[in-house]
Amino acid sequence: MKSYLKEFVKGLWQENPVLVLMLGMCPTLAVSSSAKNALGMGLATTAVLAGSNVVISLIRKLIPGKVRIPCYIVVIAVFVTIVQLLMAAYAPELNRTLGIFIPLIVVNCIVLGRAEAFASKHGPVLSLLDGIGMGLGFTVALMALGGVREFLSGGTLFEYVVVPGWPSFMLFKFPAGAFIVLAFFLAAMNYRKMRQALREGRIYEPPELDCSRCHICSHDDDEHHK
Amino acid sequence: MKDILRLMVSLGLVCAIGCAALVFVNERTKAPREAVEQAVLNDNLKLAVPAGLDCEFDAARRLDYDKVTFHRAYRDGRLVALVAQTRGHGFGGRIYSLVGLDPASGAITRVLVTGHAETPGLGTQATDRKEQKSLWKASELQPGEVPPNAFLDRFTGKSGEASYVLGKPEPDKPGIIEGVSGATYSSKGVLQGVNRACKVFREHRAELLN
Repeated sequence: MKSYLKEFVKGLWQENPVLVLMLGMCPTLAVSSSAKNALGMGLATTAVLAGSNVVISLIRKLIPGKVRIPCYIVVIAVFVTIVQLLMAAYAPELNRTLGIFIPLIVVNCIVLGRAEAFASKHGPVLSLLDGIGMGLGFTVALMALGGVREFLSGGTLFEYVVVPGWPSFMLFKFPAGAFIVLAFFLAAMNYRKMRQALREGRIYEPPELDCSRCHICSHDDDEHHK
Repeated sequence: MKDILRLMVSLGLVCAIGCAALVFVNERTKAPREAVEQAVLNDNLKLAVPAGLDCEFDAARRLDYDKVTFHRAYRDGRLVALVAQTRGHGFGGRIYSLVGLDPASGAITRVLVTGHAETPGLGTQATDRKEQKSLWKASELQPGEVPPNAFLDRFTGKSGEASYVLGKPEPDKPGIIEGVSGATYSSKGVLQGVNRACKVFREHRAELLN
């Protein structure tokens, strides 16, 4: 039971896909211009992530290692298209505001990353929890970023005026503003980790962002299917 | 050889099952999606005519031209509303729009963008009519009214038979429309749609006002 909870919670903070794993930067920077867009994109991604994780975990022993990545992409694309069709039919309001972001989910590397790093090695229940947790972590990070950007650029939150007369500050609507806000978020994360390390008497070393830290493609195909 | 066959079959199977799932969902959602589209079009047509004009558009008296469709509403056998459904090329693909025309004067009553894939926050400045909501003030919008859009509203009252270009407005040249900075391609896309509608209206005026 404890491990189930662990897999669910880890995506929210400890292994947050955006702020810690640094995955899915493209949709993060593109869609976080307002809190509403961020929320919609996050929830749609969560739905796709949970669905594709379960299916991939179910078929993980049936597909040969050499074609596993193409198979994952097909599964993910199918889920994204299904979400798109269902939204167009039963949630036209939502579809109108989010329609153009939905196809972007196919190329969101969080979805493929979780399929390869987690769902292909664990059972369907754990994979479902991992997918939902990671999706919600993505949503929370995206909304935090989107909220800050939307507020700074126009004094609004979820399209409601919060501070009347706030000067329009377009920089934060543009991609450059996304980089700046994201940098402050990451700096704050690092500062927190440094203080924590200091309290424990260690010296904080920033993670090395090279291939040695990531184990997604380090194992060869035979090992993959043991 | 055997290995390759295994790879082909498994990837092929995944694709086939995926396709079957999509066909199933597509078939099941086709009717509701079309109903939604039709309902949305009807609602939008009513927004393109002046507020307060109560009218029903007659699907049988629709007129199709190259890239432009005209929807017409009649009351007591008399044409009361004329709306062109048109499109242009924006930054992110097609921009679909409705251009309401006054049958009496031939002037543009309202331009309404109904579908686009422009960049949110940038291109949408030229396409979206969005009311600025506030935590401190209730909405003041009446039914039948649409929120303003500075760019789209520049067409209102202009001739429905002219041809328009983007540029710096001059008092003696009504054919020049000021675009939105940061959304040049989107402005051009909307303008192209309006120009197409105006061209058809210019060439087929008698048939349309029939």
